[in-house]
Amino acid sequence: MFTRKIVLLAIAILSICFVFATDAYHEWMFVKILGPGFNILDQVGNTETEHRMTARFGISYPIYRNIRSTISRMEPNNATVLLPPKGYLKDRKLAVAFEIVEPAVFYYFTGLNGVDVNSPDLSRAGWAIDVINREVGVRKLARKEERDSLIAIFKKYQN
Amino acid sequence: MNFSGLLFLIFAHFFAGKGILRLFKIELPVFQQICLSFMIGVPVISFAPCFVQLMGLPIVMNTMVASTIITTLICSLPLVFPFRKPRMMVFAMPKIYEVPFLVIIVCLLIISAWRAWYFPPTARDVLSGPELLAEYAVKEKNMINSVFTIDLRTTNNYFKSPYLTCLQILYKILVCPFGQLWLTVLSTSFVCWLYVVIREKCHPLLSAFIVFFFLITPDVYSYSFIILYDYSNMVFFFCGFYFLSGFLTSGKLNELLFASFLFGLATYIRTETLILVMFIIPLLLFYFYKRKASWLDIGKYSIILVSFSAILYFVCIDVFVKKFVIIPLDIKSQVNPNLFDLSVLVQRFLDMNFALIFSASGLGTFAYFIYFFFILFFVDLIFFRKRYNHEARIALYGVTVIYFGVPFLGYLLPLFDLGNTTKRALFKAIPLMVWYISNGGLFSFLSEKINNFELGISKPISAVTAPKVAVKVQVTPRSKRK
Repeated sequence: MFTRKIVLLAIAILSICFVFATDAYHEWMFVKILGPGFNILDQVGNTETEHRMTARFGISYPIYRNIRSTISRMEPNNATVLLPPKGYLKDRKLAVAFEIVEPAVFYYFTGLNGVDVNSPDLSRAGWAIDVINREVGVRKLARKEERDSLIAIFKKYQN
Repeated sequence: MNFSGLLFLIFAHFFAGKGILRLFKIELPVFQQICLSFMIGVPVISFAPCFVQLMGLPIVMNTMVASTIITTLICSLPLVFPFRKPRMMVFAMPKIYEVPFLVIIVCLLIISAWRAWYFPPTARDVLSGPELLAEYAVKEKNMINSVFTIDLRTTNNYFKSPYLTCLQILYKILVCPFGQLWLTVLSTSFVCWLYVVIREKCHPLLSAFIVFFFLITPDVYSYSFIILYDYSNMVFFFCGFYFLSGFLTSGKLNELLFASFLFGLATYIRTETLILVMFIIPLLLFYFYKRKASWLDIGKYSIILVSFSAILYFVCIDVFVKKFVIIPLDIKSQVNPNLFDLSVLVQRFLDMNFALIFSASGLGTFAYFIYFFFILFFVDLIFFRKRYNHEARIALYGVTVIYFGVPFLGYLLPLFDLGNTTKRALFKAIPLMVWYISNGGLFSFLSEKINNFELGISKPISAVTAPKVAVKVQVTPRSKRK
């Protein structure tokens, strides 16, 4: 009977090998699950919250945190930030893989109010995320004309 | 990470769930009871922060601990009443040939748990809704917080059930900054429970294989560590079907009530599940009509089936969403205004099949699982139709409800998009397919053959085939009605 169990064990092992030999499961297991993103030893050594946020959201997250600290330093209360459309950032050929997010997620990352070009609260925007020398930066929109001209540019790129 | 907080919540889930099982007088083997208690305890404990908010208390450590203890104690009340001892069936130790599958299953569960702990919530629907609300509820000690002062035009995710928000609040305050570990409690218990119930139906080699095959369904596995509503919804929808199947086999009313409660939890998690639960009523109609039950009984069972879903839908939309979301919800605006245009329904059905399931993107989502199911289904249909058992038919009905019900939801609710919502709604069909396969003709035939081979018996025995049990429901025949 033990021999028969061994035969069944061999069938079990072979069926696992067969499943993972197929394209869909092979790619899923060895690229998505156990691929380069799964570096458990590295992850065990880096368990700080901010590091894990960056590991998930990429370079965008520390950029958003920098935006937050810059604006909070200069305007601690009620800053509203104008968010550019995706097309605008793409057109400016950013040097980093920065991704713009919707106002709700922007608030989650930064604690700052964000508005896009379709927002009814555009007039509250005192700051804007912009591209300066292919780098992401923030601009203070001190004058109404400055804000309106930037909104006009952003509107050309709106989705 | 706060291990004592995690342990506290794990105990709370367990005792709340166990109390609910006792309340419905559900008799199960010990291991199944443990798994189900954890599973049921997760949504039940999610009510605790809701009560705190409804009472106008601050969302802080003390109130969270107190409300969790009170919720657990209330749910555990049935535990103090005497109850017939459950079947103390000892969980059969795995056989040597199950070990390779079990090793992979355990490794995948560990990876899932690690990812749930290590990475923050990722899904866009969560970041712009429940996670955002939970984060600021913890910071501002109130579920009605500054999130409602920002520009929310691009999202409607704050209108969704408070299930996720509340669990995130609890776990963020008591366990770790990203919360999420409740999903590990749920997914691990579900996989263990599924394995045990399937092992009762077919040979251990086949049951280990099918649970392994279920677990490696790419997107279903991903959502065992990425928090969203659909994995939890899948779990409770399937459990509802499992106990409904139990009711239709044994005729015990408590199993119908419990199935209704589980469908109710699924509806609390995703409110549109109410419509899918209504699609289950024809199963009861057909089943009892064939057994010449009175229309009164048929009506009674149908009402019981949808009762918990209707109650929890009302609680979710008319109490929680109304009280916790200060922006008014206009349900009418979310419904398709042109319901007579059935071309939308047909188009959604075709898109679901050819752009989602049987397509390259479908391979990335479900890999070969759905193909595997359809192959086995046709093999059963052609060669093993006589071996169909009761559970297989009910599971097949469940798959049909999802297959036709999900495109119907897409037609009814325009926000129910194809690439995200429809895709994830199809998860509900996967465990039902597993349940069908394990009860289907081919697996029953193979179980018999493997069993005979293992025991060295040349004469076939049918011990592993599912018993054919007649329905014992007490019904009044239509002919005797006045």
